[in-house]
Amino acid sequence: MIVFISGGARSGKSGLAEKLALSSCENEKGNSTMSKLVYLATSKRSDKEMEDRITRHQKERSATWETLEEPVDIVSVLKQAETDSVILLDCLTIWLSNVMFYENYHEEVIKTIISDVIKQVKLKNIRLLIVSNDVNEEIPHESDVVNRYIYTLEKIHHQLTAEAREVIQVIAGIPVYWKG
Amino acid sequence: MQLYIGGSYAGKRKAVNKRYENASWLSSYNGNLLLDWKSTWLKNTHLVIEGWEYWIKESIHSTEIDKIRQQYKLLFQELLEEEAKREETVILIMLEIGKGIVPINETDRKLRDVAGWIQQDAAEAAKEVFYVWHGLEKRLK
Repeated sequence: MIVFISGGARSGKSGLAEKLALSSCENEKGNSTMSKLVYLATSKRSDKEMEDRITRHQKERSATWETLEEPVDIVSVLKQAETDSVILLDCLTIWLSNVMFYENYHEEVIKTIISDVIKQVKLKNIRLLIVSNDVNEEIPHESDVVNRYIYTLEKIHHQLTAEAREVIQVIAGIPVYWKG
Repeated sequence: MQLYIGGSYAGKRKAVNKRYENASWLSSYNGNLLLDWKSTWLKNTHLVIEGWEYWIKESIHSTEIDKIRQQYKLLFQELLEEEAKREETVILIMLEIGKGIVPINETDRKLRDVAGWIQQDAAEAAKEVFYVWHGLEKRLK
C-alpha cells in the first residue's frame, strides 16, 4: 500500500514519515517475520552541502534502517525489494527533477514509471511511504520550465493520491488526513 | 454560490466538472472578460468562473486596491442575486497564490494581497468552500 505525505518546506514531512514507517514495522514485531525497513534516498550527492546533509540524516536514523540511494530508477529498487518490506521514498520532488532535467524523460514516461511503482507495490505487498512537497500554491512562475515541472509533479501527485491508502498533509508537524 | 480553491494544477477544474456537468464557463484563460458573465451564462445551466488572478492583475495598474476589493464584493452580491433568480449555482474557481516567498516584483506583491482579500470575501459569500489539494478535495465550509 501507498502512504502519500506532503506539505510545505520544513513542515515535518520526513520526520512524520520516518515515525510512521518505524511504527508500521514495530506492529509486525509480534509476528515471526519482521518487515525490512528501507530508506530510499533520491537525491544525488552533488556537492559538499548535500554530502553533509546525507551523512547527518543517516546518523539521525537508527541502525534499523537500510539506506539505498537511487536518484532515477526507483522501479528497480522496488523490484529487488523483499516482499512485505517497508520503504520510505524521500523525496518525490527531487526524483522528478532528476528524471526531468538530468535524464530528460518525457511526461508520459514519467507517468508510466509511477504506474509501474504502483504495480510493484501491489505485487510485492510493499508498504511504500512517499514524501513530496507542496510547491504549487504561489504566484505562477514566468518560467515555462518551472511551470512544466509543477504541472508534471501535480499529475503524478494525482496518480498517487488516487491509489494511496493514506494521504497526509503535514502542517507544522501535525498530520492532517485526507485519506485513511 | 460555491468556491473551489487550490494551487496550480491541483485538480480544481476536474472536481467542478465532476459535480456540475451542465455549466457555462467564463474563463480568463480563454480570453473572456469578467463583465460578460451574464451573457455567457446560458439558460438552465450553472455558471463557472475561473482565472480571477488575470482579471485582478489587469485592474491593479489602474485602480486602487481598496476599490478593486469593493468592486469584487459587489460582483459577488450580484452573482448571488442572479443565482437566486435563476435557481442555478455559481461556482467560483480561484487559484491559491499566497504560499510562496514574498515576490520581489511590486505588481506581484499587490496581486497576492488583493487576490487573498478577494478570496476571503468570496469564501464569506459562498455557501460551500472546497480546498483542492493534489487531486483530492476537502469541504472547508
